[in-house]
Amino acid sequence: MTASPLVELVGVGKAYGAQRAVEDVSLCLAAREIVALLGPSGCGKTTVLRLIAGFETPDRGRVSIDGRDMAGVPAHRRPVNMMFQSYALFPHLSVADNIAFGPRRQGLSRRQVAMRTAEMLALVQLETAAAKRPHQLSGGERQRVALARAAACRPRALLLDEPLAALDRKLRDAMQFELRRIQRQLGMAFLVVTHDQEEAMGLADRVAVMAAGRIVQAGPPMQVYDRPVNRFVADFLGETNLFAGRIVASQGGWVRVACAELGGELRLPSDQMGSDCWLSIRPERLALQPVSQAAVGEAVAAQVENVVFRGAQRHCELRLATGRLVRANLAKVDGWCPRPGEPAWLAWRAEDFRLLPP
Amino acid sequence: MARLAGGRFPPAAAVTRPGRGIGRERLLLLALPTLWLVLLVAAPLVILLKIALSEAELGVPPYSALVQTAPDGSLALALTIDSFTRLAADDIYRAGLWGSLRIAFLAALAAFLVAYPMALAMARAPRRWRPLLLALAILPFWTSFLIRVYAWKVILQGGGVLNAALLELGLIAQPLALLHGEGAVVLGIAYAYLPFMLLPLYAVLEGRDPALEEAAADLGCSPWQRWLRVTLPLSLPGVAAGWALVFIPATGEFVVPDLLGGPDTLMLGRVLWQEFFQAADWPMAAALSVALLLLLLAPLATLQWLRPRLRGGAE
Amino acid sequence: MRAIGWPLMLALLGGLGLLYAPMAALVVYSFNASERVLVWGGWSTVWYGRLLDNSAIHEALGRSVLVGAASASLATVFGAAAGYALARFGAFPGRGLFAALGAAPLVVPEVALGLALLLLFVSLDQAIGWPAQRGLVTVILSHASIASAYVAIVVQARLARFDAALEEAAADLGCPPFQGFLRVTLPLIAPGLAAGWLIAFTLSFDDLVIASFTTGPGAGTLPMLAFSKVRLGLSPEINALATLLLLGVLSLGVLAFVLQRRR
Repeated sequence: MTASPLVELVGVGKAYGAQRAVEDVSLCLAAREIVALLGPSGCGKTTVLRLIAGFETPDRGRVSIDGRDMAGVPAHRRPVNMMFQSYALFPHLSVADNIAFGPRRQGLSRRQVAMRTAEMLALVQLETAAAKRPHQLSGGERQRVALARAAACRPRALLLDEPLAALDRKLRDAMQFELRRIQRQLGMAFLVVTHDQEEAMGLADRVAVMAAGRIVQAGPPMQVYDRPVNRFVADFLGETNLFAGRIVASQGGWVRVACAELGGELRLPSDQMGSDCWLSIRPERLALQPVSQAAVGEAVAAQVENVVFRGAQRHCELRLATGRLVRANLAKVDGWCPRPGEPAWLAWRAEDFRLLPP
Repeated sequence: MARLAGGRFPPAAAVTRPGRGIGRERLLLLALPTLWLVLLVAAPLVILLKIALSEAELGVPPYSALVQTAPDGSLALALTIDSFTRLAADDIYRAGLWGSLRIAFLAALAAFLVAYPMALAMARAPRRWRPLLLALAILPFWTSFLIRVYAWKVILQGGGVLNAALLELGLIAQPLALLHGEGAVVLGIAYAYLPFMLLPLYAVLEGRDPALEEAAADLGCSPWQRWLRVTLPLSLPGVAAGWALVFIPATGEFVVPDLLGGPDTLMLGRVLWQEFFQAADWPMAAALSVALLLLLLAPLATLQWLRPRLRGGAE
Repeated sequence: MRAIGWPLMLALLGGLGLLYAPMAALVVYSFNASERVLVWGGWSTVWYGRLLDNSAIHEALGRSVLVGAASASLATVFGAAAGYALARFGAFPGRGLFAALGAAPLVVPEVALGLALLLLFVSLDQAIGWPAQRGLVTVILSHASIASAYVAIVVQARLARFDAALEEAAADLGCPPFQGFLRVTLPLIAPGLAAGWLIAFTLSFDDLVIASFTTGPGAGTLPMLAFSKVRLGLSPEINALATLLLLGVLSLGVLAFVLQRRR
């Protein structure tokens, strides 16, 4: 990451009347970087995008692009472009005219505009659709036109509002790779807003998880997934099983946590203080063992409720003695798997648990 | 193959599909309004054409029968385009025609210039204000047309509200002759038909995706360019509808030129009224009606042709 | 960014002011005590009192209400049938012509319509001896023929908001067609019918041109009476009558507007 960020938000807040959409957000986007702003709907992530694009003015804080403070700069003079969630393609213009719309406003010559348009059409592989109107295109094609149009002005940074949300699942997976390819080819920075954690993790160099107008945690996807800072992040980014626990001893970077539902105490590395806490474990970190043998390692008895076949994985729902439902995802499809209604040992390794604040 | 299929299966059309085609109940439900429309809409228009082609006579009714019994007992068809030749030759009808077109155009233009910014402001107003604004814009449409036109008489009269105010302010020394002229008629029509211009404009402007204008701004359009390149082209269906809704009835307008115009403010509707009620020349009045209808075919056909093209992008 | 902006705000307020100012002036002047219309002589309701004593106005008002109610009822029946056919029958043969005839009263100028309807009645009289004299009946039929076009639009628009599958669902659950119409379609379009009736009534109650052509001796409607007075010039009594007409038609209009917007 370069020393001076391309887009920088410092302590930005925005309220609509009594409703505070963005509380306090600080965020950087470096050149050629993809950052995903991830959060549930209504968390303020789209407002952050609109503040950068210039459609909203922040109540407080500072938005700067390329080191220049953007206060008072209207949307049409800002060096970033946006890909809208609804795509906002101009229905009265052809695909080519939609793409040429921005370059024409930049005052490029006729020849330059034509070249730029052809180049963008080639980039998104829509050369044959140049003369069509937006309503004649499929959803996937529209999405690519929207991307080409936003990128045609050669902005240093592109803002993408739920770029894949309107596509069906298969197309969405394909477009994740496509977006990365295009981003590398253009050498632009992408700021992607999404509510889909798979999309965020698959696309971004860094993920910023937002909740209630604040960024709760930011970092590379692996890091945020493996080391969530609280219950919300653990639960929102991927699946997790959460257990209430109590810290009974703490010494030298290790703690002992009592957890009734897991039938005893766990010892894991953490320097968390206090007494109440949450234990989080990802479903794929749990294992099942047949009850016909003694449990290997730490385990509790559980009843299998449901098994769902998911291609590469098997998802199991188990009920503990306390009545609590737990999710375990088994990666080895050909391995041992109980049938619904059968008992099994639910086993884990203590270091796979994450200790989260209450 | 063909023999096999032809021999075994009934042709596709013979297969009855329930729910398709017209059942007995539907036929009845269709016959009722059809009869009504034929009797009270189609027949009058046909008869109108017929009378326009017959000769004026003194008597009741004041026109000759189209099918006449000749003295020798044979039937003869008495068709004449006399009314139409008179229509083309006489200055007063040509003045009426030209006046109708000119005044209707100016009134539609005036209404458009007032209504477009209003509609744009309404469409951009906060969502919770919009029903109130819409109601305010529609309400006058629900008040008496005659009275709304009469109200302008109160305002424009020599000693009327406007003149009194202008005199009071010292802007004029003598009362202006505001009433009884083409200007007053244009004003009156534009005023009376303003809701017809406002509604379709508001409908298209309100229905558009606000992200389109934001996208234009994002791609470097100043506010003025945004309006010219995105808002206006996208609102063209509403513009066309609004123009049609004002221009078409305005060409045949009678009440406004009669109340606000001078004796020389000629419009087809008024000339027709005079031919009928004062000159009792029914065939001439009918010929004028037919001319008026033919005149309106052009803008109607244009609108019909424009509609799918303008809608183009509507998803 | 999303604000209206002051030039547009000004245009909106100015436009609304322009819409209401003439009517406001009229209402104010109807309470003028002075005999001379444009000279302010203090507040008074004397002209409203005069109106109450005017028997010609009473009779014309009675006729207008009768014509309005009768033509609105006819228009609602036939207009609703036409609107239903257009909304639900798909592409039946002759649909284009049917739709064109249904919409014709909306685009044909009033003077031409009025004359055409009059000529129809005269020709009918010559052909079958009815109607021997023009009067309220011919005005009612004329108004109904025009208003049915408006009712058809309202009903069609209302039906378009509901899935045709609702009626199919009724059939699927064992409703014969007529019963399905009664139990599902009719309740759905009822607000549309009410709004359509009010629109038709208002059109009739406000109409001058069609009635002038199609009426006969002694069957003048209220707008005809008002027009003959208005033509002669200004009078404070007309201002009072105009104010009453304004408010009368307005209250019906508001009712229709509310009904039409109801879910």
